[in-house]
Amino acid sequence: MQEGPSSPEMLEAIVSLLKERIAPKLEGHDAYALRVAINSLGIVKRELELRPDLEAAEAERLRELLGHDGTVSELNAELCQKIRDGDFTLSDKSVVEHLKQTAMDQVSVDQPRYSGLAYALEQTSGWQTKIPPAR
Amino acid sequence: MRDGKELILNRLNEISDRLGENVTHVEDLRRLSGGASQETWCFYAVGPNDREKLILRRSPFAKEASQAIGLAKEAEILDAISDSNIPAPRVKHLFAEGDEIGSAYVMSAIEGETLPQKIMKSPEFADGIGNIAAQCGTALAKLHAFPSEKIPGLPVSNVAEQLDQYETILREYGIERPVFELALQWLKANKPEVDANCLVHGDFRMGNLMIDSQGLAGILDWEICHIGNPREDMGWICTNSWRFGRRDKRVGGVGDLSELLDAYEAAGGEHITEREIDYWECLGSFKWGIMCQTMYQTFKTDDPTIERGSIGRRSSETEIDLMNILETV
Repeated sequence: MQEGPSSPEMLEAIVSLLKERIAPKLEGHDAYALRVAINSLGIVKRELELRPDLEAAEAERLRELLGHDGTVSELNAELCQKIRDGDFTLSDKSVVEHLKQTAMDQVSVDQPRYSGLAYALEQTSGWQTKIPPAR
Repeated sequence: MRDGKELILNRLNEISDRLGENVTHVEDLRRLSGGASQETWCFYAVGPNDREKLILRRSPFAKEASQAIGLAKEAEILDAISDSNIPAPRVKHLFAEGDEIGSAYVMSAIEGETLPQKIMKSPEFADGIGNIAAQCGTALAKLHAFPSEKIPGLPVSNVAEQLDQYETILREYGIERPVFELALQWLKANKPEVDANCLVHGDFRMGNLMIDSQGLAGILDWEICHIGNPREDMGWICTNSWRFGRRDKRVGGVGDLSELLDAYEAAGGEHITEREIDYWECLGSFKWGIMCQTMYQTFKTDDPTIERGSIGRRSSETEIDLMNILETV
């Protein structure tokens, strides 16, 4: 399959079109809806770029915690069950670290400028971000 | 029209004589931005000599907010508290149940701004913004002291019930997000001893507060008002999702919690410590994180707009907030 321009490149061009040429023509609820749409395209772009690596790392940590293989959704379901059953609690440092890392990765895709992520990064030394700096 | 503008305008014109003396018709109806689950519309009631700006609140998706008391009850509450010196809109007209407009009422317009980003940036609010936390404390003290028996039939919602309710949603939708599980177990194990004992607003946060150049001008969106714990309102406005980037200002990104709590006590409210609010802030992030997922469900079944669907992607913000809080408790 071909990929020139790539999906992220096309998304970037679409976002430019919407931001610079369409947005100034709208007002009221439509202007708000367009801002939401532009933000959502940003999520799609970051997901295309970041998710494969981030999810592979999540799967690796889940396998380590649970001691066996499985898909990410299977392993997450099992982790949920173990937390419900009290097998894992807040005092399990490795679980807490995994969950914090996963949450940081997910917010990095969904809303990289979120204040809770900035705070978590300050508190967590050694977290290697693959995220481009917020603009 | 897709958003029902024509229907709304027709229905408002049919009842325009009830919106004020000598009102002949309504005009300039427009939908205000924001608010995915509730529609808010602005319009003018016009008479021979003047025109008054009014607000229509409308809920076209009846089955959505399971904890909502309904707009009719909301209107009843606004009526009941109208003499209590609590800044809130006045009800002008309530549409009857079964009206084709959906659940809806008309209320007075309070001038000001609700959008937190604008409030934080615009010089217009620079002087008033520092008053908001204390004004919230004073308003909450009056609200929490209101004799709630005057509004019969209000739902009672204590922590155990709220946790049950949100756990049910998690299970029904098959949401497998381990951070929510961890938060749920901690919240269950650390429930406060004092519980539901007063009238609370239930959705007390930036976005639902009308702000003007002096600070707090009105408290809006009373639809999940209930009998609850007074700390619930405080924890909700402190929830990081409602600080809009200013994590350092615990009260809605605009003020310090100590200012709110001091004013609350000065206005007759009980002594509450900042540490007590940690639990309620955690509960706030947990509830909002799950609500974001319910928005995604409504997106799939009833309202396939990007405005609604994208809220589902806000769940991860609450997950990082939950981890930040749970690390310190």
